Amino acid sequence: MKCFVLGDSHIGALRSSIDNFGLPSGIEEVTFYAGPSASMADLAVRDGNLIPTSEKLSRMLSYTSGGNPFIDFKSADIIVIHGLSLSISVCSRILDKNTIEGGQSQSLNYITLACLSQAIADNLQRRLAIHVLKMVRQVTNKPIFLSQTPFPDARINNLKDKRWDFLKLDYKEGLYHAFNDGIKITSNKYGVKSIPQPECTLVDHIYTDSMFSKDSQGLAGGIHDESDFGHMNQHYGSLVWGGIIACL
Amino acid sequence: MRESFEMRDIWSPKWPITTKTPIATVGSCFAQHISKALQMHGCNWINGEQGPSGMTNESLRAYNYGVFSFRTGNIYTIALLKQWLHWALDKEQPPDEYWSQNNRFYDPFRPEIEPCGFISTDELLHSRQQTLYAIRSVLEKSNIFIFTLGLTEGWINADNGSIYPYCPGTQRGTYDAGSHKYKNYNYQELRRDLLSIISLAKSVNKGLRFLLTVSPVPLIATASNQHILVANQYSKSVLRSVAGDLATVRRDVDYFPSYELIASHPFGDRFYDSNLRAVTDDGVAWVMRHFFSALNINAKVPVLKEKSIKLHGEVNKTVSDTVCEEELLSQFEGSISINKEL
Repeated sequence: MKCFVLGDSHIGALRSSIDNFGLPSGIEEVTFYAGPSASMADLAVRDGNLIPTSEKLSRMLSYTSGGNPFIDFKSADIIVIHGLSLSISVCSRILDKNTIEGGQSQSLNYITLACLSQAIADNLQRRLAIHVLKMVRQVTNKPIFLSQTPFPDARINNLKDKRWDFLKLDYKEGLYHAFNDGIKITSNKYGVKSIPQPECTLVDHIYTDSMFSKDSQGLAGGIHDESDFGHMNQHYGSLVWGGIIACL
Repeated sequence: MRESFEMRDIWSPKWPITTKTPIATVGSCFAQHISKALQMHGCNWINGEQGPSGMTNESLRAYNYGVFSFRTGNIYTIALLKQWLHWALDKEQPPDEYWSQNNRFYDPFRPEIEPCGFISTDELLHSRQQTLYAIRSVLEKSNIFIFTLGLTEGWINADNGSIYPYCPGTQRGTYDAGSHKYKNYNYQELRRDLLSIISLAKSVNKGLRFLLTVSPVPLIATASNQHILVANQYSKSVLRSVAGDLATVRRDVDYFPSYELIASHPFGDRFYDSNLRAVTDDGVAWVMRHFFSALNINAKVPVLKEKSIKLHGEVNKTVSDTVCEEELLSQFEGSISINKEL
């Protein structure tokens, strides 16, 4: 089975897993197509392929795929879309004025978990993963798997970045379920499968265990800085591959 | 026939209302049109419970955000609004009652507020508490409180007197003949409750003024043992009388003739959908045009073209997607005697 993985810097974990532990069981070939940050937004549909519309992305696609400057899905059996802002960070904007915890300050508007899930699903429509998913669907009906950006390492709270303040709520289990349900609503809408983050990688429901953020690798193979609490390593990547295989 | 459509000055507002005037809206399903029109015209419509950022309009509507100034769902009876105000202003505590179905929980006093109910009674209670906060906040912030009166018939809990928005068991909950009692409010009761609402609301906002309307949407069912035509006429007449009387004797109450603009004899059925119940978009536009033109607020809603109107002819009979629990009665298969013949 041949697998195409489309993503951003977070595919570093999936690639380093293969580099270190070999191909996942049942997969004979994996081709990565990735660009850092939001550069995959420069993809466009043309002649049944996804082509880069910027020189930078063209170089990244060639680099990550081993020489293909555009994405031709003919040789793929399955497609995995990994990362691309399919992230819990989507809740930052929602939980800025809302809360899922009762008895809190009246300045925050209480909403139900179901409402939060729907709000997450609606907000994910504007995330790059869904933009790419829609383009892929225009050119192929092959099975697509949505794999989320990993939950951050809990040490992200040390950064005192207000955008992550929403993670400090007490009802973390509720947030976790609402996020997964939001992704499921999105997956069902497009007829694709979603792959939740492996439970064994989680701490306190919404954080990735610090052991997985140690020595994470970037797209170009270099090790991320110690203060990078968002990217994960090859061990994490191996567990994600396990989740993908389990869904096949 | 043209004369019907040349009506002018059908409403002379008692007070100026501008696009800056903070306005709250509640009431029966027709009141949703008023909420929407106020928003479309850039009026200062008070939204006491804003939906989460980034939600689509479709999702917001499904979760009843932006439908009324607070998330009570439709308030068909005057007594039900009084009950919400009592709870919001801590005059009474809501009873400890909830309905469950398929492992989900439903608030008996706003059963359709969440499309799939609540996951727990805690979630139900937290959500209701949010609405109670919102009611108080909306009363404090508003200058004009528009209340569309819908029905005189309601259902109460015989044990504790609490008031339901519709008959338990018709869509959610289970009907219990011992506990669930039908009540058709009479003029004196309606007037007393409306005065009580005014008094409660003014206890937190002395300057608040009330604009009453009567929904032109006819009853879909009655439990009065009268023919639906007779029951409907009674209901609308009494509501209209109470609203008119209070508008006559109180300076802080005005009446806007939504009912007359749709249901009066000169217009026949032209503003009703083929089911002779739902008001068409043209009908809503017709009402709102009179509302805004009387206030000298630039009308942006579609305006009826007189040439397109013919006696008994089809106007644009599309109907907006209002959230109307009373429609659920049409699905009711009864263990209770509800007369819905027309």
